Amino acid sequence: MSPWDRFSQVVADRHGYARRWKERTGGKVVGYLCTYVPEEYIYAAGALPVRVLGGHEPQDVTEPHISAKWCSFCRDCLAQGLLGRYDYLDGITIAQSCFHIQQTYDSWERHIPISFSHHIYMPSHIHKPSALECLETEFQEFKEHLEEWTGQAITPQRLQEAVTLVDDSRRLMLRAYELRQAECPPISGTQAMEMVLASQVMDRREHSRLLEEALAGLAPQGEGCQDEVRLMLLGSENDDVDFVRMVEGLGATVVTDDHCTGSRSFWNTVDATDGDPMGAIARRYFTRPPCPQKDVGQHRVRLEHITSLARDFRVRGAIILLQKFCDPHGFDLPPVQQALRDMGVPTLFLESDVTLAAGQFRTRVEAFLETLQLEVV
Amino acid sequence: MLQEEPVTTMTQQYPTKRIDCWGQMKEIRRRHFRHTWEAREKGEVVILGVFEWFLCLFSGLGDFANPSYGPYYTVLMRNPEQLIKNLEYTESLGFTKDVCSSMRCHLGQLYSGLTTKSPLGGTQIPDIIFQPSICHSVVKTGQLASEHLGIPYFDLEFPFKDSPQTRRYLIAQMEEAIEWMGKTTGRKYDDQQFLEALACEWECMVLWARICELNRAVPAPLDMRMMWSLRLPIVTSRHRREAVEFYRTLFAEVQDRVREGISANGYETARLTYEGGPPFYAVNIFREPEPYGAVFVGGETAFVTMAAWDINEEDGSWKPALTPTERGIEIRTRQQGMESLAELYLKYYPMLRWLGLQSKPLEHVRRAQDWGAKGVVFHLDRGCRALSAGMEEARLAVQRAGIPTAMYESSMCDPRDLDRERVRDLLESFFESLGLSRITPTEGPAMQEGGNE
Repeated sequence: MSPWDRFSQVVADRHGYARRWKERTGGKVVGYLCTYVPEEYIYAAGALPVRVLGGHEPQDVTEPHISAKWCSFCRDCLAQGLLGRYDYLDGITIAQSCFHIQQTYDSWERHIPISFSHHIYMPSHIHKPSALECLETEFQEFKEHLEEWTGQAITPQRLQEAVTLVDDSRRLMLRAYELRQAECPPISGTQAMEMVLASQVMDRREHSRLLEEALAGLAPQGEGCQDEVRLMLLGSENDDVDFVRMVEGLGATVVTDDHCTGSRSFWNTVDATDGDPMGAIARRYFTRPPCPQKDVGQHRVRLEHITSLARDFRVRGAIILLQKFCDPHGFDLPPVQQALRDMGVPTLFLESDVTLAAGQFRTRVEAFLETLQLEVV
Repeated sequence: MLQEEPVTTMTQQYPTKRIDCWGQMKEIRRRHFRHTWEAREKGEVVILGVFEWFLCLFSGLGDFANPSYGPYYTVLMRNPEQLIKNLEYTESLGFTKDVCSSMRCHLGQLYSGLTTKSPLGGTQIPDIIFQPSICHSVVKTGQLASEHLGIPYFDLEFPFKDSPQTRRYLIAQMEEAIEWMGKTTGRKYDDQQFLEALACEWECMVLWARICELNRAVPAPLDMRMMWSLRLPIVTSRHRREAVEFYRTLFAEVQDRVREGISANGYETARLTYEGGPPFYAVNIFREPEPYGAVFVGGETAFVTMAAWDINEEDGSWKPALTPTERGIEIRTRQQGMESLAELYLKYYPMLRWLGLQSKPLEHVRRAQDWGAKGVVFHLDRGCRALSAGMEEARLAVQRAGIPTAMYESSMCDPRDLDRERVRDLLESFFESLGLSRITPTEGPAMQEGGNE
């Protein structure tokens, strides 16, 4: 099995993977609900961090807990918990991001038996120096809580090892993404998404070994992509591999993204070189490409990042996929569209409710791609 | 064949009368809106975005105007047709209908040019935008407003939990804000004015909690419709001496009403609470129980978003907070003032704690029990994440405590989301399920005879 197939398999069977990991190592598994949770501490405590994701299927169990007028992804995540799909989790954690996923955390903590839960107050106004001290203290409390729960002291050495582990994984994924800048990318958008999703649900030690092997076997250029339209994906949380596969099946190549299930999760590293790994970890989470909820100052950071991605990866069009009722992205939608339009990148806005409206989306994406191809003619 | 509804003819249960200081409230309200447009001429600062929190912090700049989420916001709420046009204009610019209707209203005024159009003639561009961020909708809107108007923007984050580090964070932000306001407005910050305004902000919020507490009495001296209006000076002017004077007067008057057994409406066949905000363009939804002789005795937007409460973390019970002066605390310096302000909002202001959700269900249950609610009506706002966060869980908790509930859905600022007749049907069914039936008052209805509009 190729490493890419293995990533695909782990993503499809992520619960089986985590169960087997637990059986094999005897370690604890901690679910996390947002990529602002510092995985480094969980690895340093000897546990496996697993991102909680949705099931992409209709569900009817969350209505008593979260109204249908809240983000469909967040409800889907809770549904997975209520349905027992994550019954192997020993703990659940979140770093404050949007209200939506906060609801998921609260209901999870309230209704799903678990021996550890921790809420990290992650300031939203990360452009302020005063927020950093707050986050460092929050991370310190998270560390102490993990130590108490696991019985494993998180020594500076263990933390440094965890930082190296996660940073190495991030650098490898960044290398993989850089290859997608090629005229004919050797990695498809589907493969890239599965690679990143796998890093969020499997042991990064194994993930990095596989990714090194995968990258070693890649030619700098792919094949047969001359007529394909280079696309960027952005918007709310999107772990819908089938959607990307469908888009790429219509004559497009997804070459980059601005998603927390994609580039945002690994674009920068901790680089703890000053002997203060805890401070360095906090700074890393502050300086990563922000989601809209963390990009709230007078000078937006997100637009610059998105436009530089579009430029560096030479995208011809962008698909903005919003989860229904996702208001942080909803408020960013017009400025993002405008910024891309200003640089000559047309956008297609799609609204998802987690389940894939395949027929309708296919028609709209096809039409979008046709307009982009017409522009070239 | 349709059955006729049972109607009970009922003699008024309790005495009722108008609120004597109602006119005083209206005068404060009038002055506030007039001041929005006159402040510039008086050489005062105009600050967009603030809404109702931390008002004392700006008082260090002298008096200021606060057009909040657009100077025509309340005007639009009284004109649903114009309001819908305003919302549609925002949507035509690419904002989805699912985002907060209140902020869509703010943006509509902004992009259509209303925000800067003075009714006195000419234009008035605010000096700065200062956005305390209770939710991501307001802070993202503040950002958009700043970009559109090209004026400086400061966002002050409300942490959703009270801990030593969140207090330090909030205080550090206040320091940054004071320095920033001084620089951007070119004004010297006056600590004494800040401290005087802080004392007012504290006292207003404590007095309002005490007034809410008086509503535990049977009969309730006030109902939600009255409270909705009487809370206005807290929204606009909690940092002003005139607001303190008003709430002192109101508190004394409500005490008298309790002593004399004066009720809000003359009837109290059942006490109910109302959770979530009302549709601002249809606040008479608070009067839906009246034909049944029932009364909303309180709820979230009256109790939680305006008042300072000392809530027992163990059992969720509510009692009004004490002001620093009542606790023997002297506040003499800017630092002490900022610490006190952080304490007010992080410790004694339930709204912020509720955004962290953990305590909300228990506190809802206790409030319903302690105010004697026979049922609870929840309004689930489609776009307001702050008010509807944790609402389903709170509802579950209330139900499990044996108190019946009803929930309806709409948007606080989008009339297209309110199906008035369907909601009325739902509420009437709910009231009937509580064993209530329509009454024909032999005296009243109270709101015409003795109440206030």
